[in-house]
This record gives sequence, structure tokens and C-alpha cells, in this order.
Amino acid sequence: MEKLRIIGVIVFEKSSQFFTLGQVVEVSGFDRITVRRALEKLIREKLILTISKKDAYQLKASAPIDLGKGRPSLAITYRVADKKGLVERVAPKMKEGTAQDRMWTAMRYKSHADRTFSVAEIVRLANVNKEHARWFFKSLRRVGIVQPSKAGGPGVEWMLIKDTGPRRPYVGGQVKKSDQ
Amino acid sequence: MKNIFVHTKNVKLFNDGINAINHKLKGVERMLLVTGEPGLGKTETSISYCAQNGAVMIRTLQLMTGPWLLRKIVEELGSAPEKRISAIFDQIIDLQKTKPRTIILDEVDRFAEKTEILETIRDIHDVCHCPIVFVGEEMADKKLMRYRRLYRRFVGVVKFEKLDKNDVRDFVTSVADINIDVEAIDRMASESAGKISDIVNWIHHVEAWAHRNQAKKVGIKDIWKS
Repeated sequence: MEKLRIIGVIVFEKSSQFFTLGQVVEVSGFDRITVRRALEKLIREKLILTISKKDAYQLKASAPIDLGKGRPSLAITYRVADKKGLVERVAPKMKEGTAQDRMWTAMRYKSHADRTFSVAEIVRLANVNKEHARWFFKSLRRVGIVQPSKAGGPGVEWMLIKDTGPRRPYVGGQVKKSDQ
Repeated sequence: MKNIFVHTKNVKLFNDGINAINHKLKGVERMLLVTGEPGLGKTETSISYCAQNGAVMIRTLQLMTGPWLLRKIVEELGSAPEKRISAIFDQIIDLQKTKPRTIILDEVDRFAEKTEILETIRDIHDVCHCPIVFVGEEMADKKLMRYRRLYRRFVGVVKFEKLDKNDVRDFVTSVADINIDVEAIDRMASESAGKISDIVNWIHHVEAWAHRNQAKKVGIKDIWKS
């Protein structure tokens, strides 16, 4: 499932051009069978299309050329058929009504009302535990959505510097700089 | 001091009011008006309700026009507003039909002079049949009273008032980490005149004093020492 999403993202990045299996393999680092299966799944879902070998060959040469017997020398060419659908398919699926949703709503509305907010206020308003709130604040700070008033210590006020809308931003799957 | 959201008398009234408009009865209005002096926790209570129940809150602005408000509602309902006003209105109806949500309008007394906006909100209520909560200052009900067709749609008017002695007792006992004497709490209530921010300051001082002196219980004489 995770591999399909990674391949989907690579395919999306190539949505403005034709691409081959080999190109996706090279970028993703997965083996050819895994990539082929993922692409076949995306084809079944009508998110990408294949261009037949013959047609693909004819894109370059005007006259039809006989490919002959055996393995064709030209790779199958793919292209994205439904860009919007592909985005929805590969976008992380988020549950609704979670503690993070509550915190995000409280942050946005508190920010609209008072401009700044503290971790304690969000804990109180969203009814979540302190550790979870601190993790969420840290994750949002890493992606540049919130900013603290000072480096640390008591009485830190936070500010929402990028309001991405009522749907909470995806903050999972980030890697710390020190871990890289 | 514990960091918890205390359900005071005002919060309970607010929740009761919202419960009264969250029904599925046809032909029964679903609008609520919440009024009160500044600093009594109207906005805080609204934010808490929105966070816990997925309601939508819009902070109104003095310069806000009808189209601006409609666009803001669509954005808060989680969609990108269309270009034409008629399309935006249809969008709100569609969004509310697919996923009905309570709309809370904060500082609504700013619209007291803007008939067009108030009538538009009434139209949204009538067409979508969605719960709408107006939150405003203490004179908001008097300001809105002259719009009779709008005012009669309010199922109830919730007035936020300063905390009384019982409320302060509940608040202090649920928030304070140490045992504070009832007489001392009553004294805090009279000194703070029911304002939560002043009560919180009192609790901080008393707790700090108790921590310094390793006291387990704080009496009326001790609160002056702190």
C-alpha cells in the first residue's frame, strides 16, 4: 500500500510527460515487478494509460515499423489519464474527528480571535493530553505552519503563520533533521 | 493548577441552548442568540464547542460584506468558493445538505446596522434549516430586536453572566491543586466580582504560598498572606 503511494507520487510528478517502467524503477528504487504491479493497479483504476508499443513507436516514426518476433526493443509508455483522481488516490487518508482535528480547529479559531495561543489553552479547549498537543505543535512548527514567540521557557505563545483551511494539515511521516 | 475546561453555569446554559436548536423537527426554528459582557468566556466556550463537535465558527469583521461572509462560510465548510454570489449561496446549501453543521457567528452585533447581511443569514437558515448561533455583546439582543422576522427565529437567548458564589466554589474546587477553605473561596468570589481571570490569579497566588509553606489546606487568613 505504501509502495503504491510512493509510485503514485512519482507518476504524478511525471504527469506532464510520457514515462516508462524503467524510469519509475530508477526513481523509486523498487524492483521492476513491484513497479509493474503498481502501475497495472493504477491502470485498472483508470488513473494512468498505456500507449501500445506500436503506437509509441509511431510517435517517433511516421511509417509503421514491424517490431518482429521476440521481446520488443521499445518499452511500454505510460501517461497519466486522471490527474485529479491520482492526487486523491495517493493523498494520505486522514480520519475525521480525531484529537488532532480538535486541536487544529481550536488553534485556527483561537488564532482568529486572539492571534496567539498557548499549548495549555489548546489542551483545555480541545480536551487532549499535553504530550499529544506538544507533539502536534512540534510537527506543525517543523513544516512551518506555527511559530513560537520565543525559543523556549515558560509562557511561550504560538502564532499560526500559515492557515491551510479547516482540514488539518498532514504532519505524519516526517523525519527529524538529526535522523537523516 | 489543573488545566481543564470547567463547565460553569454559563457553559451549561450555552450547551443547553445548542441542544435546543439541534433537532430534526420541521417548522421549528434553529437559531440561538448568546450575549454577555466581554471577558466572560463566550468566544472560548464557542471555540471549545466547535473543536469538540465539528461546528463552524466565523469571526465577523466590521468591514465584512455579504459576499465576503458567504465566501468565508464556504471556506469554513471545507470547500473553495465559486465566483458568482448565487453559486456560492447554492454551494452553502449543498454543503449543509451533505454534512449539516452548526454555524457560529462571533461578534455578530457588528451586523446590527447591516440589514442585507442579517437577512442573508436568515435566508441560509430558512433554506438549509441548519442551526445558527449568534454570539454578541450584552446589548446584541436589543440591537437585533428591531429585525422582527429574524428575532422571532431565535429559540432562546443565553445570557453570559459573572460567576456567582456557587460557580466560583465549583470552579476553584475543580481547578485548584490544593484544598482551599469555603470561606476563603467566598472571599475570592467577592474580591474578584466573579471574573474568571481574577479568580485564576488568586488561585495562582494561593497555590504558590501553599507550596512555599508546605501547607495542605488554605484558610481565609492564609489568602491574605499569599
